Amino acid sequence: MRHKTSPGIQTFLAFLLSAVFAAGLFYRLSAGEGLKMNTRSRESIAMDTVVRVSVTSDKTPEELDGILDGVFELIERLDGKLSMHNATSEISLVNANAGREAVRVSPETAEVLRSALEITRLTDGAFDPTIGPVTALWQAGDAKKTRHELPSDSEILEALSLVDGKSLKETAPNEFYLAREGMRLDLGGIAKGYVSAAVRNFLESAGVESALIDLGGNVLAVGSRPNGEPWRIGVQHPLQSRGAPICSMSVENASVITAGVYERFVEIGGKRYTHIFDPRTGRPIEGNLLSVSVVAADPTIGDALSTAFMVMGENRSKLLLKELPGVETVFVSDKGSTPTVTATGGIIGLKVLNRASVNAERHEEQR
Amino acid sequence: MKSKDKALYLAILFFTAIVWMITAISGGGAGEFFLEITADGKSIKSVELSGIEPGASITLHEGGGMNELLISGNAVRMISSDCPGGDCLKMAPLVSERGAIVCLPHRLVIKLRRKDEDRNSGGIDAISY
Repeated sequence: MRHKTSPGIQTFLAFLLSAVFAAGLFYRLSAGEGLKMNTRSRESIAMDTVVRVSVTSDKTPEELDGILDGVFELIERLDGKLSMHNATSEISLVNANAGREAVRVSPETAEVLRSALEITRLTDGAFDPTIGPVTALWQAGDAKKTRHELPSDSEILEALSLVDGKSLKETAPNEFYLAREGMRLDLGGIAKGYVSAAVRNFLESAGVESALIDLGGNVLAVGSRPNGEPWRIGVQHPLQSRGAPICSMSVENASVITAGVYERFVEIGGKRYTHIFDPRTGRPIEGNLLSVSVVAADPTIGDALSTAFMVMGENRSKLLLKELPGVETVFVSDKGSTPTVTATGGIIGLKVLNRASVNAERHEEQR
Repeated sequence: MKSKDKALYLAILFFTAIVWMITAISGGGAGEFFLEITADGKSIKSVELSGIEPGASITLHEGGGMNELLISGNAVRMISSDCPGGDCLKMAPLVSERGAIVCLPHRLVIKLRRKDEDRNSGGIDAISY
């Protein structure tokens, strides 16, 4: 005999089917499938490091590939202007004409140099784009030119006498002049930040609203994840192998740029010296700071500040941070058996992940 | 309420719960690793680790030089290279999708990836270093 369903169960079935349909629709839309979102990533070697760019948009994969072509062309073009290792770059031309004449540069190079001078002023010389003679003396990070003995005091003083941000002048619009022969610009502490900002501008003008730009560990999060959540960015553990994070945080429309003593170094007589130099002493920095990560909307500023904060140390950096609204930091310091993570109050969703202690007063969340 | 209606209610709820669980779980499992090798930005080799015998090696001739990778279990490391400096030989073995072995002179990047990594789980998207 056929079972006849009651009106109550018919209503229940209708409600259930509607709920399942609505849930399915919501799931598809929230996953981006309803908008046919596509993601394309590309990884290559540029600026002497590994560059990875991932973009998501409702454009076709072919269109996104074209945008990525443009991104890597842009990076190569800017690197060709800013690299001091390229003899024909604009920076090399300024260096070659130090003490002789001003050199006209492109608006992009001029913008980087103006930002560098601004950070030099702001940090009272802890960041200095004219650090070139000192880095050349120590030859840090260059495996082909490893030193076998420490530079002498007189060599350091001689190099130091050529480090002076105030002697870099913009004599006319987009014309720059180094006042003394032998002076040498080194934009290693700011160029990648500027280039990642240029890539962001390029992507936004192309209509890409969600992207992740990683220039050798200088990370810039454009928008949010494709699913609408904030990006999760980790900070490298200074005592563990590459890829092991010590903590992570949530970011949207911001860069996370880290300077650390562990990343590049020069080995002299069996001892490692970091590649970060104090522009006022001409020597590798000392102290218990292992790394500083700067979170800022402007990656050019974030890049230069991360280096400056390593030179300034935690306490002086915190004083300056009070004058920099919107700039947040994560300090990793060596204060005992495990590294200590100290984050400023504006860091969102901080999670300490990996064999570290944390300053409990300065974070919002920890595992 | 009739006993047959009750049974139907329970059957529908049970079926709905099963469908919900399948939906929630699907795509949530850990994906298998594959080895991705790029030279000068172009993917030149992609190898599923599950199909490799432990102790197998991969020799690469890219960028005007030679590199050799050793695969042992789920770890991959560089064991030989004729690049100047040999920095790639000092890099930590790859055991997860984080990190990479990079040979700058030969413009090689070697990474482990999960098959389902584009699904964007709740993990870390990038590491600042």
